Amino acid sequence: MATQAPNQQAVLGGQVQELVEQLNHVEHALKDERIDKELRERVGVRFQNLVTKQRKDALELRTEVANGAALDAAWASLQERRAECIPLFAECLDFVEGALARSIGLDRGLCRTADVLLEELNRLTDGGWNRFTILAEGEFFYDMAEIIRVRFPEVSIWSLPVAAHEFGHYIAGTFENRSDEPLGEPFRKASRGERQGWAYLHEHFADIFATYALGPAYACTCALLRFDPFTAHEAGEDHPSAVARIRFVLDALEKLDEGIGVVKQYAGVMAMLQEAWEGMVSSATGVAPELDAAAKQELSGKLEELWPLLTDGVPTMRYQTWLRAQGLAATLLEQHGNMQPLTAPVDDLRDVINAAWMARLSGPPEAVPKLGEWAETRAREIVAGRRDQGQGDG
Amino acid sequence: MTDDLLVSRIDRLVENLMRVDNSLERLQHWQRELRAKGEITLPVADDMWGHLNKHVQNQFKRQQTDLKALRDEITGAPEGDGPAGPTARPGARRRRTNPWAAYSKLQRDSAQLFEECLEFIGGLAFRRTGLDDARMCELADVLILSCARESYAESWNFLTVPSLRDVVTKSRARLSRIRFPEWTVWTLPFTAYPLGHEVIEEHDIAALFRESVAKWQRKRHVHVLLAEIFGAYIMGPAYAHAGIQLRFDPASAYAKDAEHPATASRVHVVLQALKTMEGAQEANWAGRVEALEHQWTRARDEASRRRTMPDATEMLDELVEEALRHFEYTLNRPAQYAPADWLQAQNLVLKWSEQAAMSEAPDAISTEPPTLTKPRDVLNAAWLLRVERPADVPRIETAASGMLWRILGGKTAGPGALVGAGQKSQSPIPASP
Repeated sequence: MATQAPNQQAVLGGQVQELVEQLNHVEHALKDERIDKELRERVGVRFQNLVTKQRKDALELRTEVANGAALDAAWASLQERRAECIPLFAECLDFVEGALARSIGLDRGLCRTADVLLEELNRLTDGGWNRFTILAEGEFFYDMAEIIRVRFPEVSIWSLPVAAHEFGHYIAGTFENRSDEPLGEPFRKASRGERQGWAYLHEHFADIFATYALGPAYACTCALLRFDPFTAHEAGEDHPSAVARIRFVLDALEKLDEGIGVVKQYAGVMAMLQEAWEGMVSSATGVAPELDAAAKQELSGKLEELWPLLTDGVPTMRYQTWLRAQGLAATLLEQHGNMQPLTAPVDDLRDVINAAWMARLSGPPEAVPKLGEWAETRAREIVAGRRDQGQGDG
Repeated sequence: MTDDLLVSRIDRLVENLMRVDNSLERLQHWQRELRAKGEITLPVADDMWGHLNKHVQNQFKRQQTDLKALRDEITGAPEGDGPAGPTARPGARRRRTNPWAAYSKLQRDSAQLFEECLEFIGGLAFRRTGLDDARMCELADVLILSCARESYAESWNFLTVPSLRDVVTKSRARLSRIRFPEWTVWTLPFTAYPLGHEVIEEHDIAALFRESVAKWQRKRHVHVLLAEIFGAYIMGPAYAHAGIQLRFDPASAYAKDAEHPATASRVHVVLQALKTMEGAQEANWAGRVEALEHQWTRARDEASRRRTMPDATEMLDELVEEALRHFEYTLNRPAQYAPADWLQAQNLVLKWSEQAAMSEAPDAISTEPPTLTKPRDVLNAAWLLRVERPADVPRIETAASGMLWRILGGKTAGPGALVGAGQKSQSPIPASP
């Protein structure tokens, strides 16, 4: 048998062809009937467009190679094509596996609840989001297919507010990407500077977005459940320190209180959270969660810059029923104290989450499992009602 | 209040551990059901679940025990008291100066475990989609098992999962990550790579030749290079074909990072291993390797302006020499892809080549394995024929896949015979309870 080397054009052409076949493979997979039809339909067009574009580019490159293009430029172009396909493949794989995890029930129905919560926020913000949530190793939002991830295995009602934070990233993106949108100016300005400044601004916006939408529940999830007090002073590449973020969220909560009336309705819960957070961070690190004057001033400036984006851009999303949630929390704790089943009626997901958190914060620790159960049951009923309503409307 | 919060976080972490544990249990149950219905003939082996029990679920138990000890310490409960749970491990009960730090560490450890479990679950569920109608993941599982048996007489069952994660990441659940979406017969030789990592880790191979390893600044690079050498040793020239023709990017040949040596170094050790192995005495083998080297060098030089190797060639060659010597002493005799195997592959190529030339029918190339043909021979033969008949790639792929199924799947003749190529199985993934 001869052992001649294949010519370089053939090798390069073969690798380009491989990429085309991979794109075909992904396209075929995304149409698989075993993936939930509703989910497939929600992202189908977006994925199809992305695959089509990448395939068109790859086919053009294949033609160029066949027509004798300079090999160094063609290799560089292939590298670029491949690099562009990696996030697309990653997103497709996440979608397929995430959708399957939902169908197996790994999410205990939480993804559906998160979808309903975000659909409500989307309606209130006129955000144009028509996607869904899936399980992943951490919460994040990626604008390629606009699918929001919730963290496995933290599939409980207590973590739900983090989904609103991720939706905040989506809204920030819509502001930033519309050049005629003055609300996007802070992000566009930040994008002209260091990458980290831009990432931090997005993170801060998503934090106050979730606070504006959900009230104290988001602060409770972050301070009491999610942020690690042991590393609270450490800032990451894309994320400000937990100390700075909690400060920012509490400041936003205070701002949410302004202009409503003389009585500061969030003052009580803020004091409780502040005390708890300080205690946790001080015990864990030996250093109180304090920011220096310059950092405080910087945060204050950012809040002034970002707050109008909420009050002007998405005013109807503002959480306004904290008093109702407090009333529910009181009822729940009373029922718990009287050893009765928890049955407080409520039909708003945001109230369910806030009432559960308020009762958890002010009630005995042994009430927590029952409160979680109540909240999840109520959430499921609301979701089922929404689905029936949707079908009825249809 | 602070203590209450810490206790509440500990309880939440315990709940999460239990949730994942339950998910795995449900998944195992689902697999059994599918097997009983005959919908999967090559289910995830019992041994794989056994491994998962040993390494992952035991890890869960350890985490739970440590969490309980921490909880007891905070609440002041006497040892062995408190909420039902395993008794603290000996030595685990010590007064800690900072329980939050202890919690933080346990939380980070658990997060890593959760990530891997999600990957495992996703990978298993993934096999029920059209993405893997050709059942390449299953084929890869059995191929690795057969290589593990031949090389180390170990029944190591890996679960092949599609991934974009770095395959170097150590997997406690013994996951073999195949890069998504490039799983075809052509990339199957790469299955030797995760096996190489497992062998290197299990037998602490790098520690056996400390002197030469000490010259390397980054130990992770040595592990990657050793796994590449292992891949070439087990798979023969097919490994280099798959790497050079499909995977290794000549445009970024000299780039390296903390975890990965430069591609140029990886290719170098693969080719050097093939040049040093017994098979290299065969003119045909040597010619094939030379052709591959020529092809790579030209592609690399055309795609990249730099010319100097990022790692000294002498160091790379020394590593190859030591690794091969070690493999020869410690691995079973059939582990090395030997001249006799190469001959078998060439005979198969001759047969296939004749069949392909005689008829253009899609099934003209036989899937019936000649006596004593090993899966590795099929992969080598497929690559040799691909070079000879580039226009015939789809037919070669079908034939090679069919033959691999006949060899590895026993009576199961693969997706074509089982449910029909591209046809979907009927059992849906179980709905949530």
